[in-house]
Amino acid sequence: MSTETSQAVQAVDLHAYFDGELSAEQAEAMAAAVTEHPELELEHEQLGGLQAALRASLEAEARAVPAARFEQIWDEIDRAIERDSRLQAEADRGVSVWSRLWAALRPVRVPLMAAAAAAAVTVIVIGSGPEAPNKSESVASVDEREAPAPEAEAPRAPEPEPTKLADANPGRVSPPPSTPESEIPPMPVPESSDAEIHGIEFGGKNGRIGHTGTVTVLYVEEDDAQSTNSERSL
Amino acid sequence: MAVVAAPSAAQAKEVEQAKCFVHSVLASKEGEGGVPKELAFLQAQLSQDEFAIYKTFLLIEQKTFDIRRGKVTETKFSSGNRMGLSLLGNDDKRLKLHASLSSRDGSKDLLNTDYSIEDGGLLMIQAGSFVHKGTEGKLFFAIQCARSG
Repeated sequence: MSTETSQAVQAVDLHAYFDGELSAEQAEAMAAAVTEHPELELEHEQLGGLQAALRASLEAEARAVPAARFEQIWDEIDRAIERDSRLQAEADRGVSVWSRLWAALRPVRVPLMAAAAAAAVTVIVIGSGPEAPNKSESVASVDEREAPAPEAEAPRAPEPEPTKLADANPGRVSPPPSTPESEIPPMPVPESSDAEIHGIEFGGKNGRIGHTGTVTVLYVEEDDAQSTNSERSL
Repeated sequence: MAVVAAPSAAQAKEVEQAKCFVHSVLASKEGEGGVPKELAFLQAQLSQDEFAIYKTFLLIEQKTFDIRRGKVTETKFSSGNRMGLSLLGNDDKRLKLHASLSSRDGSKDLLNTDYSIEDGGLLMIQAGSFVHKGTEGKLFFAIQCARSG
């Protein structure tokens, strides 16, 4: 019994030793045990063989995946990121500025409204007096007749024009506008429905079918020699 | 009491001809060109998640196919791809079609498919990376067919 327990513990430790998870002292002790016990040594060698076989298998599997498939995988990842950011932007746009301002002012809403109400009462009381405040000579305000014309106002700083994306990224050149080969008459808007694929043969490197509910897209890839190189081609 | 039965697929009038419009389109991740007016009719499709990654769409060329039942009509595009279309059948609302697309050097078929789609419906084929007038992107063919006789 004691021997079995010891062996069980040693087997667990052996796996940890093999995976490099033991402390330096424990690893040193286990190395001595492996040298001392032939059955442990054999098991240690078997673990090494298993690891090598597994690695070779995974590497062979990775080599079997066509390069173009990697391209598609990257595209799908990009699409997912793009979709998420677009949905987030739409969600942000859905909340109006006033709603966000209203929410932000929630803690001070009541005091502000009370102050505004008090100010309004004050204005009403003053405004109802016998003399309008702007008519009094003691008030440093300008009579409307003497007010300068709008043109004479101090020139305001010109409002900045919205920055164009292309300007913000000078290194990135926008493609030229679309110039069709010939004048195209207006096309009928197609029905939004998927196609039903009854049979399909892909002759290129690979292919797949994408259904969106609105349109069916068939993806085919030319061979490497014929396709344009991509920065993500492996 | 008379019973009026809806016409079944078997009773649908046989369509002998169809007209197909095929647009070759470059979808690029560059720029912010969006969908040009020449492709505005594809706005709903190009707004799908499948195309969300692309920022600019360019019409490369458009071709019209008059196809007949059982006969393949073939045309070569400026990209080098040859496309073949034929009408296989129909029911009341849908057309059954065959489409083929060759590699750019014409040495072999990249695609052969039989499909059915609503009259006027759209099938798109993405045929790999392509450069059009200096803009890199993916080459798409948008096939839209409707019965014509």
